[in-house]
Amino acid sequence: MIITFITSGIRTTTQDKGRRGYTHLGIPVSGAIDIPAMRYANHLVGNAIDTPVLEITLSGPQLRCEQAGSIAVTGADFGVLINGQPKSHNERIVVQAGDIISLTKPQKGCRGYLAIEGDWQVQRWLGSASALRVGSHELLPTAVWKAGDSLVTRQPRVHPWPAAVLEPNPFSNHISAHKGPEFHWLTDEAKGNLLTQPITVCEPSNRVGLRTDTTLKLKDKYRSREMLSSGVMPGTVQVTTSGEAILLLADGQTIGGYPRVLQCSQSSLRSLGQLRAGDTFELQLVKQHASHGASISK
Amino acid sequence: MTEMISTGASVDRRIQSYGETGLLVQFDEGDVVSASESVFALNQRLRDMKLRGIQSTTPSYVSLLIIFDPSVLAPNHLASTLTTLLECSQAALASDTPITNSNAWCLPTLFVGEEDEDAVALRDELGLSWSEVVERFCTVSYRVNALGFLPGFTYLGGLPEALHCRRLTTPRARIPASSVAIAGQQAGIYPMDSPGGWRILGRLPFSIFDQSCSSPTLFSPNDRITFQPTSEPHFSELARAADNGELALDRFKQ
Repeated sequence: MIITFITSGIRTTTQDKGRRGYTHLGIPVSGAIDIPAMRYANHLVGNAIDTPVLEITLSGPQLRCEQAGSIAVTGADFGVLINGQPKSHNERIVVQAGDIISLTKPQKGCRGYLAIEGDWQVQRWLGSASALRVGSHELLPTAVWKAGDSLVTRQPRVHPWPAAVLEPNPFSNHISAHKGPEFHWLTDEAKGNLLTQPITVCEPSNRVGLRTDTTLKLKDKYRSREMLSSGVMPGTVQVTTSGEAILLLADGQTIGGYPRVLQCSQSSLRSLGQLRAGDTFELQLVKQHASHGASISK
Repeated sequence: MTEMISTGASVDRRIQSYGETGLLVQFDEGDVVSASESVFALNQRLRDMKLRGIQSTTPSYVSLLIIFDPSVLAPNHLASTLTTLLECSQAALASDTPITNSNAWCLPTLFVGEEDEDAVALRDELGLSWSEVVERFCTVSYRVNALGFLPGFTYLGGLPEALHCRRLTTPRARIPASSVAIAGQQAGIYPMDSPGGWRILGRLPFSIFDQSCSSPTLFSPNDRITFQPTSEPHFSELARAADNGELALDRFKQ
């Protein structure tokens, strides 16, 4: 298929499962924030599940189909219109040459995924087609779509339709997390606040991470302690010097110097990435695995 | 270059889980130099094993974060592998066995003039003349302790105590790519233009991060770096050659 961007939306990027294995160089994994939604969209159009997709943030692009084919929209509940006619979210949509695809704003969530059938003819960097913005730098500029751009996919190789992909569960405002290495740096009161109170997402939040309205205290003996930077990953909850909990997402940095109080569970990451500024969520502890949670000291 | 590690001291360490997909090995930070040697030795041995299910490893000053796929590699198995590797590294450390591979670099650096804002501030804070600051900075060899903050941002350990300094209270909006800077006990090199609160000592005539390259960072964790002052004409000549793609950076390896 060939699809032309009439408008781009706020930020529409190419994402796949990301580039793994480069954190030692300071390069984050990136990739779709809602991986199950990305995979389900690919499944719906018959692509290999880790084929790139468009990740659409808050407001959708308008697209013109230059060739017939099929698409699917998953993730946040963007309304899908083909030539103005409403179509279903989470379903395969057949389109014809000349059709105009529009997306209307989602009621819930902030990131939608648009799969397009075929092999994506897009640039890759370190094995991934995912866009990555660091500060003001785009590290893979062609993965950020602008009005006038054309996206080309070739006929997919013949392969069995991937059968085992299920529709993802709705995302949730209950985020489960494990204790992080510096959880014990928090005062008991702060632990209570972090794990029982609703937390509000603040601006600026983006693919790097979520800012929050929290003010958490560290125990006296840790308050003035300068931490040596150490590894972090998507889902890590750090507490800044001002007491704000920040939650890292897929484009977050690879090492950090703030105490890591929690690590969100893998299944919660997609829900985190669907929160927008003003949304509230609650963190709750999952049981640590006693089998490997015990420290091995010498 | 193969580096010989000569310390035989045993280092306290701890392996702990980090979510479902991470294990964190933390060494005692009382002795950062020997802890970081242990981090790199462990990282090297683990990477050499090419264990299935390991997605990435993130070495930093006194810790190594290992990110893995628990459906391929059981956390228990990984933890016991790490314990075994740690025992072996300890033995290797004690017997002077070369265990890590790293490069040593000598980098031509154009230092700022003594009237520069940071030069004046450092002179006042450290009580050293600018030429003493440059001289002290250039007499020691630094270790790449970690890459991070920005892709390719190079954290260097080994800054002489006489040069330990405060960071700016208000970060600057733009520090140019390839700037060499110091803050606290650390030195660092900026891979790209970025806001930053470190004191700028000078800059390199070439880029240390190339996103078109399959190995985009010039340096790797555990590399050794020394800086050599260079004149403005020489710097310009090197910078021009680098811009034209005619500067082989391997010539700065020792």
